Amino acid sequence: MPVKPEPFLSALIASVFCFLLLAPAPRPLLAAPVCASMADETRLCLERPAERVVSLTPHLTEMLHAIGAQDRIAGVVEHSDYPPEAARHPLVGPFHAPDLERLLSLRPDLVVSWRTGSPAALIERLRKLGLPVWIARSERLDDIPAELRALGGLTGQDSAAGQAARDYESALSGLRAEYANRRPLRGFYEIWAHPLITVSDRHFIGEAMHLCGIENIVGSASSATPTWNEEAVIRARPELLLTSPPARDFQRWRRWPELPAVRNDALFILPPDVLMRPGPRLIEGVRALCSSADRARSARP
Amino acid sequence: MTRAAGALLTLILLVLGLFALGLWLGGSSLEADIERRIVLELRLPRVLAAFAAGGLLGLAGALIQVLTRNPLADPYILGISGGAASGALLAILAGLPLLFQHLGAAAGALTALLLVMALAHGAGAWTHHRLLLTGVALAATLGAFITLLLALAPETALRGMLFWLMGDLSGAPAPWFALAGLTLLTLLTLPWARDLNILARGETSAAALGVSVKSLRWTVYLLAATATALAVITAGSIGFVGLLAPHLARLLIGADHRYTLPGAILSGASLVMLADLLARTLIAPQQLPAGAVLALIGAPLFLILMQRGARA
Repeated sequence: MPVKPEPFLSALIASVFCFLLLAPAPRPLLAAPVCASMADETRLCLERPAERVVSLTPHLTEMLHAIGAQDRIAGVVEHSDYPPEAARHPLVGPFHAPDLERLLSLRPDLVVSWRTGSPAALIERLRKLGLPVWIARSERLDDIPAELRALGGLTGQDSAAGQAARDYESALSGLRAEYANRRPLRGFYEIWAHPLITVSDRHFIGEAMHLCGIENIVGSASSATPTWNEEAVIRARPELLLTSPPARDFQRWRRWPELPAVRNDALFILPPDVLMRPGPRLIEGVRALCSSADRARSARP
Repeated sequence: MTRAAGALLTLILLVLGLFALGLWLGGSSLEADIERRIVLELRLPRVLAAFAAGGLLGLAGALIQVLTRNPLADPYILGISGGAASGALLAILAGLPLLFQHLGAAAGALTALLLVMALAHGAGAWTHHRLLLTGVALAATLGAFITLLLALAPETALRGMLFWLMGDLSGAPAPWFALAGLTLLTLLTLPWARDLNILARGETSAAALGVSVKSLRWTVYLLAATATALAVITAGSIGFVGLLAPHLARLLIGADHRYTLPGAILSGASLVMLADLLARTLIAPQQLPAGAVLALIGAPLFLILMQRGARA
């Protein structure tokens, strides 16, 4: 049975709507529009800092924690396991296929995503539904402080974000200066053994290798993570062989004592996650990478 | 039979040529020592694995097409490759070393084979429809399971899984097992070639001519399934060659299985060897999955040969 609307109530609702539309800045004085640039060079503006953020990658979850915005996180994807308390946030599914319904049920006022990792179709869908989606680039070492600041702006955590970004920048420039004049080493980084997947200079790990004075034998291939030929690795005579867990079948390289890396025992399994995730802890990954290069250098006859 | 002998000889020369190219191509600039090890320890096993896997799939394809009397049949409809794929992909997902990937494929293939036999055997007659339909149904189920595994797989494992599914020889195990299997299966199959010729004309006439159709079906099914399993464990589920090689053999040689079977083995072997050679060298040092290359060159080649065959 349809309910006939009360005329007075309708008028009241209409006038409230009019007021909302016409009145300048009906929110508290503190709240002002916030803007941040994104991976596609456009800018995302919110009427006020976001209070319910859904993070679509583990490294963006880490960034939100690093800038003190953890209380504004409404949901995260699986494997958002750092810092440990990040595991408390509600889950929206796996990183490559978040669940749209669960995401919407968390009533986010901002979704943060990654251009190279988050599913483009989902982002498109969320935007069509009118949700603001911020897209991170997270491809180069220098993207991270810029993205920390952008997230700080969008969540009203400017000063903490600025501090986190400055910490990262000073640590990075410290490492850059420290390793600027080291003896160059030929190195190879293995992501996966079969097929052999590696990183090129286009990848931030490739950039980190360069920073540590490691010359990547893969160079600038057409892809950031090309599939490579084992023969080509052997022929390039790497002095340093690197990987991160799970490091499946990594020790098979020891069958080739002709390689300087094998002769000098310079096969290193770097700590998990920190080098693979372009978040604030990447600096720890770079530091571990650089010190493995130092160990290889001291082993070299 | 001079045409058949000529075609077989050409195929043998082709295989030998591809064998030499496979060992030769790929650059050589270092000291002879390390170069010799690269050829012996990386290229030789890979070329032999390509030869064995291709030969086995060619053989299995030829047998399956007789068994089903369907020119569209390929060895993967038996459900064996789906079982092998499930086992291998589960091992990849679990992050186990390469050896377990091969063991997983072997276990999966064996399980699928036993399942098909048990389900098709059951009560009632061993009609060939029942045997094949059981395989097809199992293949469909396992296909869905594989899709599910791919959907749930993390980004890093995904490329490894896709390369395995498309067929990839970079992680091929020591090829001796597959080579021994190919030799043995070829020797076991050739004595049946005459019976296969008769079976290809239809079951009733085969029975009328004194062929024990039931036991022949059994034998052919088991031979084809074993060949498929060995091939897939070696090279992943490399597609299209099992369908294509028997047709190539028939176009080049004719329908007498005493010659078509070796022809299918040699065509399959040369197709996979060529595909892997290209996959490894086309954009070297980057790599392509051999299975994708094979379909890219195999399908047009087949169309060309069919056109010429139609004109002749």
